[in-house]
Amino acid sequence: MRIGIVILFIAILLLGFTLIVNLTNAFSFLDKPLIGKGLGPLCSSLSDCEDFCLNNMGRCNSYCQTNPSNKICELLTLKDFQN
Amino acid sequence: MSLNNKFNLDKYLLLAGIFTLPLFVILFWIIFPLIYPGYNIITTGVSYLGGSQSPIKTLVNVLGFGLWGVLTMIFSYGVLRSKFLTISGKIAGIPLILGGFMIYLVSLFQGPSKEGLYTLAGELHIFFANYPFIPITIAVFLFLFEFAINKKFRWLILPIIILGPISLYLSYQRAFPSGKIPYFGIFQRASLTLPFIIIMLIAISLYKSNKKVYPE
Repeated sequence: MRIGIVILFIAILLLGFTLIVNLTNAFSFLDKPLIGKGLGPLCSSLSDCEDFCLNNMGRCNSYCQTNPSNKICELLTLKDFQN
Repeated sequence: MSLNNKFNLDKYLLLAGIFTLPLFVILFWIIFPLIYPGYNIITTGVSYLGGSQSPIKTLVNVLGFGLWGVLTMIFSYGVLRSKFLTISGKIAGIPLILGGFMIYLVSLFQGPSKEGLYTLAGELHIFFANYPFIPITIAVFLFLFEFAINKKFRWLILPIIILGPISLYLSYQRAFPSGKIPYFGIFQRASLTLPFIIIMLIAISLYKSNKKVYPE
């Protein structure tokens, strides 16, 4: 019984922590960009990304699928259509 | 009889394992996509539901990723404590706890960041979202050894052999993509659902055994 109460307490504590982190954006300091605007860790600027994605289309597509709001993805897609 | 004697903790720990799959399916396949305006379940991954731009991010991260991870960890503790498993089955609880904890951490480090910038939070999110399949796979392998020697649960080998490789392939493709994945939203959900079907079946078997030995 005692272990059950401890587990329930830990579960509530963990979920409460998630609630507070989400409501207060407590980890917003981790949202600062690590490198310039680009495709995450793959490349850091539009021209850099154009070169990189030429030979790594799979990785770029994959990144853009998980980060659909990335402006570089939109630009690269437009470029594809134009070609 | 005292309250301590009546209370069967293992039953509740194993129930947590049974609930992980319905929780994921009901919330991430049905409810969250329905209440997120303009969300496309076919093309968009689950991370976006709890991402920084999501209008339902707190709900998704607390009741979705958070609770999912916590239930997985609670079940894992039930596996560690189980009186019906031998050493390899019990040890499976350790990587399972790790997998559950990684899923829980997804709830803290939100998905696709503002403007898709490369941030530490985004990197942590991708890591904790993509790699729980590694400890979960190790756990399933340990369960396989267990079920090979444990007659009571031998029937579980069949669903593991059927669902395991498909699940492993989908999870691997998700974590290490070799190209564009069509219908990414469905693909990702399938890769997350299959291993939890296995976990639910294991939880149901353990729960039934527990109920037989300790009837209410």
